[in-house]
Amino acid sequence: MKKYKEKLQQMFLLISESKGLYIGVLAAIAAEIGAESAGNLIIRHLIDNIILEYRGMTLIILFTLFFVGVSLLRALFSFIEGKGKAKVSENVARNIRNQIYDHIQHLPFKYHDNAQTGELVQRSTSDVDAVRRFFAEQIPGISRIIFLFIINFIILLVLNTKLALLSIIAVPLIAFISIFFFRLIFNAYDDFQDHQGKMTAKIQENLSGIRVVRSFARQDWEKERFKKINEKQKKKGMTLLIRHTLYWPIAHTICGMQFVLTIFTGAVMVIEGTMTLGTFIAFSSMVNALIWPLQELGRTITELSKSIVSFNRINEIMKVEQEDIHSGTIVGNELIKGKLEINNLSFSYSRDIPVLNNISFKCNPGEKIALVGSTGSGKTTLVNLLPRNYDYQTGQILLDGRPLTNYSRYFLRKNIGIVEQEPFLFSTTIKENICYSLERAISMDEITEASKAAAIHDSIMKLKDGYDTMVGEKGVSLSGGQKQRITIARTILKNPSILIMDDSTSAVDSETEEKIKKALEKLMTGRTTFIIAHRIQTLKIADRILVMDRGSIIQEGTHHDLVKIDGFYKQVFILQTEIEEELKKELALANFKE
Amino acid sequence: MKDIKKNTIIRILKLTKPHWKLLAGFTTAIAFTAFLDSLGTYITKLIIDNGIMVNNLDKVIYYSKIFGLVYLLNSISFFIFIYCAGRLGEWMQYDLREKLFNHVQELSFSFFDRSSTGWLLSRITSDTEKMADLATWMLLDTIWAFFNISIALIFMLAINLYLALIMTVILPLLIFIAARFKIHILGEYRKVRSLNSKITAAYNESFTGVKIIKALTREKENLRNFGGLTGEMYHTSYRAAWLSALFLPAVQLVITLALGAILWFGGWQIELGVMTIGGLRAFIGFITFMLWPIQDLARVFSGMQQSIAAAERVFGLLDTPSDINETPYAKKSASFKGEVKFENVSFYYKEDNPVLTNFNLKINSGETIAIVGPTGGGKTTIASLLSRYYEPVKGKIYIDGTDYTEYTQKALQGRIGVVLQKPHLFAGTVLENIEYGKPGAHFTEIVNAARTSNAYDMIMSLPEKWNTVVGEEGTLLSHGQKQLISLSRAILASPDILIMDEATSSIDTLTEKNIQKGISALLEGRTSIIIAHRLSTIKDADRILVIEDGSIEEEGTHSQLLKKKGHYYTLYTSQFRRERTATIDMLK
Repeated sequence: MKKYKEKLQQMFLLISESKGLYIGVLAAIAAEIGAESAGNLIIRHLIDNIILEYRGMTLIILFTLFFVGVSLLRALFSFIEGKGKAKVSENVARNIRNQIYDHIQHLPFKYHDNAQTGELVQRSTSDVDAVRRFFAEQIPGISRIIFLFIINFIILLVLNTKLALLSIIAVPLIAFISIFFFRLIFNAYDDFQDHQGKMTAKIQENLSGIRVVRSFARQDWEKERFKKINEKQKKKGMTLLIRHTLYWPIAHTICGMQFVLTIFTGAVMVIEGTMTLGTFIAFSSMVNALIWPLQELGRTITELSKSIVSFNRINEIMKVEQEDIHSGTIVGNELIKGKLEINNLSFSYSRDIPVLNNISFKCNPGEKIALVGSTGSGKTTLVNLLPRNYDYQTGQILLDGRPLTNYSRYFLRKNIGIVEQEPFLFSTTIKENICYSLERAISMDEITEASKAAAIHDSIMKLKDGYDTMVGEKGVSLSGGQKQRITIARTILKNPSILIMDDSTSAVDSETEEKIKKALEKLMTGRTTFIIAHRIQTLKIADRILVMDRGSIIQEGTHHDLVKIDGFYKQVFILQTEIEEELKKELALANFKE
Repeated sequence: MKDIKKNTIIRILKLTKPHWKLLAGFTTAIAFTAFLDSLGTYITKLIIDNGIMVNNLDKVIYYSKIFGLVYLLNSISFFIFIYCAGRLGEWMQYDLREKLFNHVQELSFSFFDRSSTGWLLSRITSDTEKMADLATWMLLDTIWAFFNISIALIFMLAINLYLALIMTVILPLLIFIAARFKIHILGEYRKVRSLNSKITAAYNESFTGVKIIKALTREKENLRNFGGLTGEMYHTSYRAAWLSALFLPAVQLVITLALGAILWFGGWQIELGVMTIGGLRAFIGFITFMLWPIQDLARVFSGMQQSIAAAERVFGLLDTPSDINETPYAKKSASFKGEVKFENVSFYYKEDNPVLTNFNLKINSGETIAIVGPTGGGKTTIASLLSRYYEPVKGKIYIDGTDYTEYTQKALQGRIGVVLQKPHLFAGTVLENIEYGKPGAHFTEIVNAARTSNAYDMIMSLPEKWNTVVGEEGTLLSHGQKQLISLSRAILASPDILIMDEATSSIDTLTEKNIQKGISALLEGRTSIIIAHRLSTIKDADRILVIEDGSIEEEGTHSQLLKKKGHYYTLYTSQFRRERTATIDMLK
């Protein structure tokens, strides 16, 4: 209970800037109920003192107008409530959406390594909506039930204390049953949803594997299996239904009996002369307004607790510390030369498994370094440390003679260009994708120049909308090679001092391959470049090759040096040559036979 | 347009036919409830007029007892309509899910090329729910509204004709207002929904590409763009919400006018002595009661529109025929020696883009054929035609000299094994996945299949061996492991003809060697057609076909084709050589 109080307090902090307005909303609800009760009191007066006394038409008209006036007020309050709560809750939703979006963009790489996009989207959408409903529906709903009870009960007490007390004997019972049953109902609902998730997963699996189903002619078996799941789903639905079916008639009976008791006692009181007829009629309306909404109490409370759970889930994300991208002593406009010195560097993602082990090397501005090694040797990790995507634990990286940690992450990322193995384009125009990293205005000339350098200009011009062509889900689908060249154009425009390149193995035809090669050569000129190499051809371009194995550099040198020394590199090279030899032999043989 | 909607509603209602008792049950119960509600109000009138006003305690006691009875009966009626409508809803969803699922199992492959898994999934799960809602709760609300208003009107007419006439003027006005609002509010909420999906898409993209965004330091700009989107969402949904908030007061206002008119006119009538206080009280009660269904109208209508849209999609899916029809009296079982003949086969996916034209091919029983050639040349189409996932537009395909349409699809596909490029496993254990090839296979058969495919040692090295769970779509296993299991599955099925789409993605040499052994075991003694990418497979084939633009450009064994120095020679020297030398990772 105390925990809930704390959470509720935290939730209300969300609307602290529109606190006044929200209090106004709650006041409008109270005023609306007050006006409704006032209407009932006017009818009471109209009956007791005018109609039953035969006081004539003028007074009837006067009090009727009075009644209409009060009802107008009620409509006005109702509108104020609706408009006010919409403003507050939509504003809360907007703020959280923006905050969570920006927060997630600023979470460190380490967080994103383990996070699932689907889960993050889920929290940013449906959980945010649950918090919106907390302010738009649940709090006003519960306030309404409370105000209805308090205001009507006070008036009833004043009108007739004895009857008022008699009119609420069933209230604790209704409240208890309502809360009890809705806990049961929501348990069944959770169970129902849980199974629905499982059923959906099964259907999805069947649909995505439909070709396998068909190739083994297993449709009948699949149908049989689905029938069982489907039946269980129906059963879960029935359980949920039964609980509803039990609750509503029970609640209805209790409320009904309470109402009959009030009416009966009231009628007896009027006959005995201890109450007027007008009061009796007002009573009957107000007891209705007091009792029936209580049926909904359990539902509103349960939904409220679900919103709190959603809020918690959002908070879990918001509590994760952001990556600090701006602090650092070097943030200014100075240019990076690109001289790197790495001393005794070690790094691990989690404490027990070292990924980089005591690495040291130097590299001059403009040098091209190729990193070679099998999967898991630490090549990618090493280059990931340069833009400070991760912080190394021991050793040192010096950039232009100063420790890397002196540079802000923002500054480093502005000056380091990355060509990814799997190019990622955003669903906007090609033009915007090319200018993606730049804050200044870019002229069309600059864009075409970069595209020409990346050997993609001609392909873009062939598209109907040229540079304004949309890419991604709703646009054209580009080939892997085209996407890669767009990211190269993007990097050319960014004009980084340090370049990191993953030389991907994606299958492209030889003509495109040639184009990409030329584009990359242009991009590398004059920049300190790290190439994660997969091909011998790329290795030949490099000024120096670092051979990595299990987090350490095991060999270092140029292609010419390394092929002379016994070791991993030579082994690779020999195998490679052998394959080529075999190929040549085979071709020669084919030629000879001819 | 209206007719389509009407027909759709009728078709939804027809689905309730097997459960007509439930439908009849809740319809009767809700009508009864509407009657009891009005009766209760009328009893209050009787208590006032015949009890209180004439100081008759006995009558008060008598009517109160009836009043209590009315509530009890109403509770029973509640029980019945909630139970019947709920049960009908569950049954309808069950029936629809089953119908859709079973229908989808038999649809042709061209259909799956067009529709995404996500789209189909929503049809089976959420759309069925919306359809059931229409035939249950929305129908219930509509019937209730109708009976509630008409029974109340009858009671009012009985109490006082003139006052009831006021209501007949007010009612159309109310319905008019409700309808106007409905159109407006629905339009506004449509905008909200479309913005909502834009926001979700923005989240999705930014979270997927978050690392790139960081590398390109785009955070600020992104937030600005996203802020624009959420700002638009704020304005649109705020507008939609306050427009809806206008609806209730507008209805209340009209009702107030009605109540005012009734108080004024009723007061006058009482003073004249033609109406009673109880009658006036009853009128107020009836009018307040009418407010509920009218308030609900907007919600019910918007729900109905969504349900109808859902139903149109579902019926559309159910009405999609399979492109491939069984020949009458097709043979239900098959067994092949494996001689395959394509005779003048033409095929296209789209009419203006022919894939195969007058294609001829004869494959001998037991022969292994490797198909090579550029993407889009028609390699996969040949395989799909042979498994009858598609049918030739022109020409015929014979197996062992018999037109293959003389077998049912199931008989045919049961004898043709297909190993796909991307091995697809089902969530479950390794054992279950292999057994999928031959349901009810003996364990020793499964072990043998695993040994033949060379998967046995790999399986034994898994933490739970045969009972290792492979995860959704096999994600817990590596690509090589999945491929070995899918090969074991195919070996267990022991097909007469085998079609294999070889994987293009590179895997380490050790795994490749393993898989190669498995593949050779699978090919042995079977007519096999391989869409080949690996040199070793191609070299070992009895015959190689080079397919380009839908026709056989070259044909022969590896050495024959090399000598020709044609397409194959070029392919071999550029493509395969590069593939062979590409990855250093392989050498580990």
